[in-house]
Amino acid sequence: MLRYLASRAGQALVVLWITYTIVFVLIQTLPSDPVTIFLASDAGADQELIDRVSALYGYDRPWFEQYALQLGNLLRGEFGFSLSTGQSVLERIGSVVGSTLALASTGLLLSVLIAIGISAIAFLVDSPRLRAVIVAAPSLFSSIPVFWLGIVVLQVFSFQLRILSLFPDGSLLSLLIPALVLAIPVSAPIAQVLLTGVEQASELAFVKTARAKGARPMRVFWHHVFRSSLGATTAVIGTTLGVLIAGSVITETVFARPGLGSVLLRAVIAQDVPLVQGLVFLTTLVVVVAALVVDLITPLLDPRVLRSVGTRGVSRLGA
Amino acid sequence: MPDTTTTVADTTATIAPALRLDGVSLDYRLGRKRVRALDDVSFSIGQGEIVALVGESGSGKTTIAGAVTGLLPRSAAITAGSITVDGTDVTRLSESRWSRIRGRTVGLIPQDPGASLTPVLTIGDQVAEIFAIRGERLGRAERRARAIELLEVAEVSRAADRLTQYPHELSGGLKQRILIAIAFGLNPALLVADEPTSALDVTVQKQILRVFDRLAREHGSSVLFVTHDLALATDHASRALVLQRGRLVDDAQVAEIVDTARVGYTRELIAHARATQSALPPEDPAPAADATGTGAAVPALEVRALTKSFAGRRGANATLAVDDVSFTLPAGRTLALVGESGSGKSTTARMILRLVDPTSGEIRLDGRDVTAVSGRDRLALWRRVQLVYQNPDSALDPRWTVGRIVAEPLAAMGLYPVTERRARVQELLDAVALPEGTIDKRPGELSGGQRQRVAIARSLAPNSSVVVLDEALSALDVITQERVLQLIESLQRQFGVSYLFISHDLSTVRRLAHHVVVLRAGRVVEQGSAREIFEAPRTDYVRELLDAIPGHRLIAGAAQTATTEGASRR
Repeated sequence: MLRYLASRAGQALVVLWITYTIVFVLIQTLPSDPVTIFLASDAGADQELIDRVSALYGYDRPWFEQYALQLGNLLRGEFGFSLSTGQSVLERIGSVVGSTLALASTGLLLSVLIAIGISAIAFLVDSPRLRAVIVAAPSLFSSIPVFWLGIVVLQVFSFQLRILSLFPDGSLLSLLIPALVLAIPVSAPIAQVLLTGVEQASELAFVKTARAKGARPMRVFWHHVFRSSLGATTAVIGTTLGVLIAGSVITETVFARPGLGSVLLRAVIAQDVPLVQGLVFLTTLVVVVAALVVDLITPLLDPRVLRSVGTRGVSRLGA
Repeated sequence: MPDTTTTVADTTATIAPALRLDGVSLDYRLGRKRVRALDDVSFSIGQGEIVALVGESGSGKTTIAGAVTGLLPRSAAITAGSITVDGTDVTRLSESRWSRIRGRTVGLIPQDPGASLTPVLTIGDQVAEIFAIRGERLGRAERRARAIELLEVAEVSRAADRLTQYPHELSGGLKQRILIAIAFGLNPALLVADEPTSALDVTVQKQILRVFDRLAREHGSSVLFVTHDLALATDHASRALVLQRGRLVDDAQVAEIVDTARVGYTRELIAHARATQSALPPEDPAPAADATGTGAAVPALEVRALTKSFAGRRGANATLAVDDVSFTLPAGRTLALVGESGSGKSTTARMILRLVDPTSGEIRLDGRDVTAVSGRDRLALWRRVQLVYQNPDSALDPRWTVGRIVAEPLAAMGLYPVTERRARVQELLDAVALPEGTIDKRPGELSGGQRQRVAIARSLAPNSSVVVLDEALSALDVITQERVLQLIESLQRQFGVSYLFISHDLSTVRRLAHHVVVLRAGRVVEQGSAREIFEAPRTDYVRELLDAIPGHRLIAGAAQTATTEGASRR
């Protein structure tokens, strides 16, 4: 178990390091340094000011020194400073991150519930036609763009039904509706994998044993089929976290919610490169940590995974 | 709940039979086609009766088991007739209605114990589930006590410890005991046992069936015992139903069919089973008479002091999977490696095929030392040694045509010019007696026996001198098995191939092998000519193995037909 933990954590660190390096390289390939770009539209900025700010941020040093300096800062938990406000990145997002987390986690919860609902109905329903319709739902969900769905939902709930305020008012509904908009496309890959898992598991001999015991269809689903198909599904949840954050940014913009989305949008418009850089790194960190948590949960759900943990890492469902 | 008022005094109504099939016909829908699986099948099983359902694969016996338990795939449809279980008509029930019948009225002991327990739940959860299904609300302690009690009745060793274990931590035999405990725990009126021991070793099979027989007797259960093994059927059932291509061709008392089967097909089955039971091992002519005649002294395969140890986990002691094994396979002969699972027979085969490196010892093929060959030399080795695996379904790529499958070793080793390969493949397919046109079919279009023939043809493709048959017959039913056995023998006479035959099934070993090596826990317990082993075993272990072969009543019956005496010995 310790080896498993160490190998997963090691992988996570490598991912973070690669992300940092890619972002760094991209910034280096910009036509000029971030400060010049930021101050380009400012008529009052003369060369001396640009040089002073550049020196402050360390952009005047050779690239390898910048690389080491910024990496060292990250390791100390310093994610850089915004050019537009001078605040640290952490401070800048500290005030809004709670709102994004609430939206993203509610969205994730809803998407998992939608996926479970779809696979449960597909398993329990007797009519082949109805099942075909249900099984097709995830493909439909994955092809709905978040921004379009968001606008349609706003149109219906705010303008026609008038039950949702146009701007977030702190009510449960103003959280649930954007979260649902976010959850629909995110649920698609989870539902697809869970459906496949359930479909495959229901063909297996142990399901026959459970049915032969006289277990009701509901019990067969929850205790035997669903539990056995969880392994791959949790892994997919890990990979949808990126989509979830991207979706949150769009959803926040559509529903005018404060959050990482609005900060990022403003940072991009203001060409505040250090802020964008810090945000990218922070979101990567969140995704990587969440994926790590998912990987650590997996062996608890499926006792066979731990057994197949060898020096070469984990092969899921090795049995 | 069905009324189970079966007291002796109760004579007011005739008791409903445990199972009754009345003119049942059943189709499978495959796309637009309809394939008839059962055709007008009628029979009944009385309360407390143990009835065997016998037939080749594809005869419809598993379909009957499925129809009786409501566990058929959705593509199956009963087109005529009715099925009654313990007085309840179950011909057309919804899944939720079935769930009320299953378990308590009709129970199932499944075919493949390895896959029949839910891998993510503990044994305790799966046993205790039956209390929840019965609607009994028990406290934690009581649930545990009752579960342990059930496991102990089925003779599960260390029952209390098992509760917290997961299925993958247990052996096949233990899993089957647990499944038996679950099935009997629900105390059904009718129990369907679907090939319950076909995946297990003979000795384990014997122990399991002893437990099963005792529990059936104690519970007074009616049993439908589905098996392809007539010897097993006659040992454990009082009546036998014989199924052929979806039709019931015979329904008779076991005692009766063992002596004088009226139906031709049953007689054929009995004769086959008896032939395997009492067959004498093949004669081993002196090496001088060897037709291949290339200096008679060089054996096809020689293994000296072969040892394989696997490093223990976290510094635990290394385990010896194969310990100082030596044997010689003369050219053109068959040597059987016999043993229960875990005896090291498969590891030995893998070392000979050089898929696993031996820890120490020597392997000689046609007199050449191949113990440490690698790279090109190993490819050359595989030209000489080929493998036929137990399960043809997983050994043949379903997307490839038979022609491509058989030609694969030729292509991989660059044998035969490309233009001549098809002719070579056709020649091989003819040699294994596959019908015209098989070359362009895919494995899915062939029967199990035909698929195994394809695997055998592939193994012969590079003119190999040694073919390793790793449980190559275990997945086949008696009659198919017999045909493949005959094929294997004739190929040996024709091409002088030597076989290393790995099996836990002693009746096929007796039929095929000239020499037998019995392995236990990695060591050779006994080896010698097949006659010595089968007729005069020297060790208790081998005697025990021989005794576990089913079919005592068949043999006894054969003896009795001479004396026309009705008393059975066991």
